[in-house]
Amino acid sequence: MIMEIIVFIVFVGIAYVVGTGIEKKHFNSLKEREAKLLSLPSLTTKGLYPEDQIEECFLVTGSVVISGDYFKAILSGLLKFFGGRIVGYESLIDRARRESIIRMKDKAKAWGADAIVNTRFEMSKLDSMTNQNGTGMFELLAFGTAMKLKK
Amino acid sequence: MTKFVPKEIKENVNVVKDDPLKVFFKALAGLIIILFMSFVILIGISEIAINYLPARINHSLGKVYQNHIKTPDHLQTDREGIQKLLDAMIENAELKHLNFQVEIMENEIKNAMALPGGYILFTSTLLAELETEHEVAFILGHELAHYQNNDHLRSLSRSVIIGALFGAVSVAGVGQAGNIAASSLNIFGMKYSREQEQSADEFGMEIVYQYYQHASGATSALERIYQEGEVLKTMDGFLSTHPITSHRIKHLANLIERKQYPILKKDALIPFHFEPSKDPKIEHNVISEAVD
Repeated sequence: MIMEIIVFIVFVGIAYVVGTGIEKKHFNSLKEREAKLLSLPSLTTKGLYPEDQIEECFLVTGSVVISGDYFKAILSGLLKFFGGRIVGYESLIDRARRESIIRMKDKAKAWGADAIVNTRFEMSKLDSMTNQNGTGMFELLAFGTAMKLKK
Repeated sequence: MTKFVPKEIKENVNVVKDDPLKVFFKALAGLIIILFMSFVILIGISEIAINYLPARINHSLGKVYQNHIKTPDHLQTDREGIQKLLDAMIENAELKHLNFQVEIMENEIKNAMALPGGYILFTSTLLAELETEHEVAFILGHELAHYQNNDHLRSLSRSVIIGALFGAVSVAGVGQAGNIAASSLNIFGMKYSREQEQSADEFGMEIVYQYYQHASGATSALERIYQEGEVLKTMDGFLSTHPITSHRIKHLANLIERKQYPILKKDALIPFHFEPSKDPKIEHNVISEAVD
């Protein structure tokens, strides 16, 4: 039993240190890349641009598969008992959402788009997020219509 | 057409600002407190139930062991000898109205235990270690103390309660942290169990004194069950159901000295002899359940 507790503490500790490091790095990288792509609008609206202005349309997608770490899984299990904001997964999902937009924008920019409209999100769980055996793996897909406007 | 003005949003409202490590420890501490309080309340209820149940009903719980612990035929003579000693010892004790039955099990573990239903079970390996009748009497007295204090029911109810809390945590979906929190209850249970053992030692010694008018055999019986490496294995007794044997011996020796009970010389003692068979079978399942 004492062995079990020691292994648990070591695992949670490693997962926390490594996971937090990775998360911090990712947030920094997100901020940087978002700033670069800021001039390319990604909107949820449909009819913003009149049809005669549009030269070309194209479907763009950005997909992210991301997983929480052992620490997040343990933490969410605990917090599930008391309720409230699930600390670890809020940041995880925020990272996935922003990353997927960046990837979608990257694709649109490479194609030469001026704007993305009708942006939507889809999320699918790849394993049970707060399952005892899983760390919570999911895919976040952002998709929208990229447009080139007439100059 | 609406004009698009790129603007960076500095504040991220989608993520909690709290430090996850702090939240983790807070939640874990909360869970442990909840489990601990439920444990204490349930133990309290079970204590009341145990105290109010008539002794005879208490005693007869657990007749299920009956078929599992039958003494093998070739050990019947030894069994009857110990049974006779037991009957003589409880002639004057408070537990006289209850039926106790000695059984011997062939097993390589050195142990004796008080099973619900009044079965006092010796393993052949333990009996082979004992050299005087007084030592056997002390072990019998120790087990009788467990009945006197209802320890066999207490440990049963304790394991049922801990099992139930484990189940509750797992139904709540708390996951592994919940299991770890529930395990911490076991450590508390172990401390309680160590106290039970110490009081059983004292009672056992008293019974030996009442029967023989001397306390020989009490400390030497404990010396026989002492195992090397015990201190290291159990972190100086912290994670053990029994106190470290050397602590138990010291405690009893102090008590005997304080009460000025006489100790006889070795050649004045009644010898006890038991020949174990060469190939003891191992039956762990019964052992793990009982108060020893």
